[in-house]
Amino acid sequence: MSSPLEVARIGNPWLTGKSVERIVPLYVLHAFLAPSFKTASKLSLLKDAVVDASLALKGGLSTVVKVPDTDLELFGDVIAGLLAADRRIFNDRKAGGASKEGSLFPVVGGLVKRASDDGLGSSMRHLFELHGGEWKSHLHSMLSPVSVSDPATQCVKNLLGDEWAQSNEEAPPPSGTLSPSDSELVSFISNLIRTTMDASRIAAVRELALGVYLAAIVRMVSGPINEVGAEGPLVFVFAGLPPGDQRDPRVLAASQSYKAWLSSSWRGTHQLLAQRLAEEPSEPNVSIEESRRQRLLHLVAKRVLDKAPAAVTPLEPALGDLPTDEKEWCRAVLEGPAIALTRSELMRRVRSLGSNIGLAGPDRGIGSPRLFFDTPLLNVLVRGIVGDGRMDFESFVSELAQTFGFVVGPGADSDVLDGLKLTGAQGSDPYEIAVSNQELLRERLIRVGLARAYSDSHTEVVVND
Amino acid sequence: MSNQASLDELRAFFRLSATNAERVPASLKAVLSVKTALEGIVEDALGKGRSVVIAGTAGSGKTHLIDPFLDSTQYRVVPDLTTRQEDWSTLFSGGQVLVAGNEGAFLMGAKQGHTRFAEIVEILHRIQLGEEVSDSDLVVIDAAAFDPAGAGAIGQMVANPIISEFIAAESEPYRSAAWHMLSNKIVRDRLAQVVDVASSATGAEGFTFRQLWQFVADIASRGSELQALWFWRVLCGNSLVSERVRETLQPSHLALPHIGSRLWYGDLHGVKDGFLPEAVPILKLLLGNVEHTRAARHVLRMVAAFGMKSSPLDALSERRVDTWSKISQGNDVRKLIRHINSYMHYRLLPLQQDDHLQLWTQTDTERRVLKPHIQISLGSIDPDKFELRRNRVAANSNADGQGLQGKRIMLLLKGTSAVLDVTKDLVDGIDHVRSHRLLDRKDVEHDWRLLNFLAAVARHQQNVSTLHVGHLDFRSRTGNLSTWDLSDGLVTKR
Repeated sequence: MSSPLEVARIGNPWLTGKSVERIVPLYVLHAFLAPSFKTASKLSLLKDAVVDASLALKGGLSTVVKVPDTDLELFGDVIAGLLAADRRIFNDRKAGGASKEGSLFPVVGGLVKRASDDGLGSSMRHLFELHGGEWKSHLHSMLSPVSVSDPATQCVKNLLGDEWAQSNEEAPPPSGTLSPSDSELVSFISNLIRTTMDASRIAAVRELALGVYLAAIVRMVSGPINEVGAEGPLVFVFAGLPPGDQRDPRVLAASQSYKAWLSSSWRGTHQLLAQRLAEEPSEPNVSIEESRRQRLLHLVAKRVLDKAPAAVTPLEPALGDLPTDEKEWCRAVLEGPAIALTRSELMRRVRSLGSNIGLAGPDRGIGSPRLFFDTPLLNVLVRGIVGDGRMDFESFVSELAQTFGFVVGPGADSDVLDGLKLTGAQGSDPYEIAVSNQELLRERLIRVGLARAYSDSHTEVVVND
Repeated sequence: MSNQASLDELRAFFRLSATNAERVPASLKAVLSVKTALEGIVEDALGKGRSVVIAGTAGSGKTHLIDPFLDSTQYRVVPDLTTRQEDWSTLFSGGQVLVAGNEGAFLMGAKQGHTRFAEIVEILHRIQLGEEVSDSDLVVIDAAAFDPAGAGAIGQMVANPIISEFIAAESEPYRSAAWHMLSNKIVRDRLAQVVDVASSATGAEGFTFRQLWQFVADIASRGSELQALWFWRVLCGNSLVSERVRETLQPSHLALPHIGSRLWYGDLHGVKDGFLPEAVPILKLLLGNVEHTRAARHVLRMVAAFGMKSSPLDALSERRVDTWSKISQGNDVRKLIRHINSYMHYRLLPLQQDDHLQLWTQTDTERRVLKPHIQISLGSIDPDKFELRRNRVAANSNADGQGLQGKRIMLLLKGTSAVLDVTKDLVDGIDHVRSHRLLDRKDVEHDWRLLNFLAAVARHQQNVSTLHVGHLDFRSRTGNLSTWDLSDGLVTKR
């Protein structure tokens, strides 16, 4: 991670670096799961199998894998298809085999290994640690099932042997409390940690990956808005089949709202940076330059002690700069060449992250960015919000807003629209846009079997199990 | 012969933006009533002293079914459950009752714990899943499941003499002459067929009675010249049904060999013997005043399609060869499973048992950019363990001998809750080669629905000792399936 980014993370600890293309759901999931599970010693062999099956067999897999030499490539394909569908295993050109970076799909706990995700997964984990509750045991049951009911899990179990699902000794939970908005996110993800042992367990792990990633993105954006107490961190989401027609007033509204949402987040970040800077003491009777340097070093050191000097040094030329107003100075520093976190850059990062899971788009070059829900993500939202059973549709819409700030319509309380400041477009007023957008969601949920319409006025969102 | 008051009432009814049965005067209701098998079910049950519950969405015909029995003193009649909430707790506690309401109201009553409401909701769910239910004394009708278009209701509606009188009274010669065609059953049957095809394309539920009446009101309405002709309005009208017909029928697709050019050049003498007698008057009017415009050409095609003795519409219905038609008209589980298998493996895998449903699973967490050349299957299931079912309209009725069925088609794993709604858009979607283009979000939806169903089925399969893997080569358009034995703690290539 770029060191000067640590200065920006004073304002928003969840901020990612600019290379967001390497921050993917798989890595975030691994970082989230890692403290709970011991990595199996054969993990590296399985990763090798993806790029060079013969190397993996020579390295030790031959004791459990029986395949003719002519079919070695087939075996490699099996492991690739089962555990590396995201193609996040890379060649180590120097040493041969797979590089240390890269992760496999964690069918079981033994495949879990901490991954590089700019801290999103571990930050989400930290929220869970503060929350407490039964989630750890559920996580263990999910990734270390007592009985195996599908051949995919059996295959991995055979390959890893006794180490297929061993738990880690975990550190005692930290002290602290969660904010209400963070509690909502934890509750959402908790519903995705399912203890099912049948073949649906694999889909459950996928859904957990999407859910943790989604929550992390939202937390990254909404965190500063919530903290500075700005008006609710709400964003209007296009509810139709993505990406939507650019001329559709609902899509236009979603694009405008996306910009406003990210602008609020960005403003919150530099305001919090300024606020924390102002609260941090420095030595008396020093120049403003020195005062800033000391305060930044202290603040960065609180989070990442060893990175503090590297984080602040690139900002040296700007430390004495005008304006002397700290808020304005922080804004200028964020936008400056050292950190380069402009408003549009933040929008780009969030769009890039969101597009990995069908949350943001459209794909490059086709119109203004906005949020939407691809069908697999819609399923995750339903399961995470509804949990077991069913929920009234209007309540579901309201819960979307409550948990994530995602507004698709008035839901059970049309006052939520006041917090959005939607403007009308193409002859439609904001309320009409919101109502028709909500109807789009209802139709989609019914069409894919995630909702049932009992009458013109009563629809229930259901979790299919 | 209807009196002027009736015709005025009909005009007012047609002009309503929502053709609610509740707003129709009683005298007109009796005249417009369309008899279906549902009346027989209600009459039979009431005659035998049984209670009847009619559930359904707005416009599905609940009020129409209840109306003939409103004045009964032998049993209690509740035309709208939502208006009698204070009575819910005692509604089914004693005595015969006839109740209508939307399913949401019954659900609410069930949540509130009122007597027999939970039973009604359960029965509704069972018949919605196509189960034959005959284990209760309550006759339950799911009016929303009934498909009036499929039952030929349109033919009855347009044959109603009051509508002909209404049009005749409007004194528009073209309109009257055109409507006269509908006095011939063959024309009415063709219209019913067109609407039925459009209904199948609507999705799972088809058209409600209300939507059909709106369609009839629209095709019977006034307009300028050609736009007032009913067969033109079938295609170009303002109703939902017309919109759906437009999606399924294009005039330019109606071949008129030997006749097309004669019509175009106004050769009445040369074509009239090929038309039904009831169609000749409008044909005469149109050919006597042929406009050489595209719209006029389409009108001539439409009058030919409906009015000829041998019509291209007849051929269209006989030869519906698209996959959706084959699946919706047949009961071929194996064909559907083959189709699903073929879609899921991009038509690349030569499966030995291609009618066994392969339980593909995915382990990706990111939106795909490249097509995956490996696919994992958790096993396969014998087609005999599945069935194709349609939803049912009534439960516990002795009068429903043939088992009235709705339009919803489902593929079910027998004895489980694993269900796939087989809709036209899904079947049309899997008729094409599976896509991984990022822009094809509709394909993402189809994929998700199928994978979700496969996962639901996989929960019920017992195999842990064999892993199937599909190896796909998109360049050479080939593929093969490898099988791996997982017994004894090993992974062995078979």
